[in-house]
Amino acid sequence: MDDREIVGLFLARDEKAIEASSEKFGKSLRAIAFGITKDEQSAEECENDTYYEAWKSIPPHEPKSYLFAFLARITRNFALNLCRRNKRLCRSAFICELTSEMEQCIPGADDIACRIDEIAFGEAINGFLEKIGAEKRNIFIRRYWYLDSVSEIAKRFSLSESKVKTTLFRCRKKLREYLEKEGYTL
Amino acid sequence: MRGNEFLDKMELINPEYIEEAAKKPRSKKRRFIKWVAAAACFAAVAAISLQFFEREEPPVIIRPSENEFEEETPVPEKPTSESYESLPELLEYLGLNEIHGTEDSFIEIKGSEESYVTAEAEGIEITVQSSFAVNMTGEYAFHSGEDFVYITKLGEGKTENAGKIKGGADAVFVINEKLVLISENSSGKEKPERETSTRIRFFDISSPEEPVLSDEFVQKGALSACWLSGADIYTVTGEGVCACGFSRLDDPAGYYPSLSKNGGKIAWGDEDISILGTPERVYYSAVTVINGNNAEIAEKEAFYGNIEKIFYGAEWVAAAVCEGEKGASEVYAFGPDLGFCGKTDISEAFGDSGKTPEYSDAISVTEENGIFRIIGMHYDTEGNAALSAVSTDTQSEETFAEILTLEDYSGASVTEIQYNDNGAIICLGRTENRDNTGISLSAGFVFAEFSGSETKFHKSEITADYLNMQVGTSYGNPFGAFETLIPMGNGIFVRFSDPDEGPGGFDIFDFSSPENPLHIYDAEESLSGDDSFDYISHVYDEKTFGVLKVIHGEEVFFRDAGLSWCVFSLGEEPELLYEYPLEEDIPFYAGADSVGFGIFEAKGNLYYVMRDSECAKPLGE
Repeated sequence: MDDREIVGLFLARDEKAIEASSEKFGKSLRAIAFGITKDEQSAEECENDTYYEAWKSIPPHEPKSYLFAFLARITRNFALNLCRRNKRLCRSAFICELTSEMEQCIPGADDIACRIDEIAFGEAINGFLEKIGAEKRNIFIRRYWYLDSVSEIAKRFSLSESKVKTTLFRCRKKLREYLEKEGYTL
Repeated sequence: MRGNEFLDKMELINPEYIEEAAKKPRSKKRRFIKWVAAAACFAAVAAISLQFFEREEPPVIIRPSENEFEEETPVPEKPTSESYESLPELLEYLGLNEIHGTEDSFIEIKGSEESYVTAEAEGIEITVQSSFAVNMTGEYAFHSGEDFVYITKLGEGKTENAGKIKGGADAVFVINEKLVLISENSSGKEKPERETSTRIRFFDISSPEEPVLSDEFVQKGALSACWLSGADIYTVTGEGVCACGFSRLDDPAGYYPSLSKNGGKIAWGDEDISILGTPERVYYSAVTVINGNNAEIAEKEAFYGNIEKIFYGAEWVAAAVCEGEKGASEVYAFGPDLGFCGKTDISEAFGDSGKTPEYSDAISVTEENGIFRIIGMHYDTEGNAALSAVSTDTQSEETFAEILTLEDYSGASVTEIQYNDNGAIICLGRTENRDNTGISLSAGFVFAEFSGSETKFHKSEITADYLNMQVGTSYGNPFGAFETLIPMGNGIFVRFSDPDEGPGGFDIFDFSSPENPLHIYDAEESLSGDDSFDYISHVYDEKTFGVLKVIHGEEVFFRDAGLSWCVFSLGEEPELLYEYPLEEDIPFYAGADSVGFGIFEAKGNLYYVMRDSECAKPLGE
């Protein structure tokens, strides 16, 4: 069943939408959640919460051409929040490591916290990702969206770990420079 | 916004990108791949199994845009690294992300291994690092001793010392009326203060007996290799110092190459630096090309990377780089102007063939018409060995890969490669039933046929004695590459047989047909006596060759040894024609290399030199 048909089921309030989503994307969503939480039970919990949240969100959203990304985003948020709430999960340290890396992307980082308009930030980050090319973009997203470890990324792209690390380092640096140049203050 | 919030904001990424990153990446390149599974082994007589050929999809070649309305965009120079654009960027990363212990800081890293010379394959004459040279009139020879370079006046059947130049040399070259001496010098202090540099001195020898120093270059680093091509002197030095966060130099200039001429510094900026791959430390090979006629720097380039080996030919240099655990499997090639030609990733060349090596080692590199061919050893995840040949056409960027599995062949290693017009003869040593000394039991031959970018391997059933030790040692490791095959011409080769028992003898092979090589004559230790032959030879003509013989002293282990020169004629079997005594009472003869023994020809006469002698001497009558 393609994405349009599944979204159609959601819009028609047909509960088969959940079954169809689970059949098509369940494994991938569980993998995303497990990749973040490293706990099977938590991953299953995130997956189930994702379907419930999707049921509430469609409509008004109609992600007919990117249903997986829509669902995966929900799963990611649930998994991240679960990690932050439950410090027993071993990935909490990993999340700290990632947030520390993300700090390097913030231009003019200092103690003054500012807010950025969400739309503007979305434009900024996507503008940057468009410029860096497919391979670097995929590596960046696997790290900071899918929260893969460096060794998982190295294996996925058949690269050495040091190359992955340096690629990420350069991307963070270039993102910071890009945000500064485009005038985004954070 | 803090990092946490930034991480959350990643949800704003375009969903197309999310879905793109969810897909498993495609294989990077598709290449033509051909491999041979050979059932025959060297020890058994068996028919070679039918070769099978599997063709992958055609390689992806990126061509310039054919849209006439698109503006022509200049083709950017190919990058040598996808991780770093410049040395400052590399230093910044290492300073922030690498930490070494106290003991690892300020370690001086020596130069890379010597290259295997493949000039003969290119048909261009080059002179590799040599301890002697003859001037253009053929009347004078210059050879390096321990503390001096000696000048010999040559005559027919006689020689005499005609002077000396203070300071030894690791290499001696003559270019027209200039003598070039290259030597490595060390400050002699202990690490980390010890500094190593290479000195390149030019002398005017228009009056050969009175050389006059005209120019002197000092290039920082240990001497890795040097050669003369036409009138250009190529010098490669290696240097490195830790740049981790713990042990950074105060002055970043310390990480750059250093070059001076006659005491004046020559600038070496980022424009003459290439970063290769993803270095994990600061280590570089610096290459200079000096025009021998005017002693001016023609080109210079420094390569920063995890360099394992440097290969070179008449007008090219290649660096084999180690990335991760894969071995020295990435080879970066640079052309006559030391401009980057392209990179060959040996592992990547095999794509999804199922034969991707776990570990690759580049052993020899040749270049012809813009095609770089790398012959190497290749080990799969189960430790099975194979020979590989990977060729990259720097114009089309197509790559061809061929491997030959070496089944039933444990501990395989390449001991020698000889190139001819159409390919190469590869001598493989095989270790079987390792004992405490690890002595190998046999050697075999594989023939490689070259046709454009393609290589075809032929495995033979011929076996021979495994020769891996320099004559002067009874135990220990090989001293490097030995030329055990003496090319007599027309595909006929003479090869030393095992010198452990007496002088051994000489096998004769006919390798004119790679598909049907012949072992014409087996020496089977046919010569009696306790003496040995060393791996120095000279071919007079297709029927006559000479070799160096070592005469044992009263005690074993080559003490108080003597040397003689034996000339053999090649009939149905080698026959000794003459033996000329050369030297006697050499206290600790540990092989021709250790005493600086070399032979050369001038005006039709043969001469030999030894490091401790003050002049060259006639060889033979």
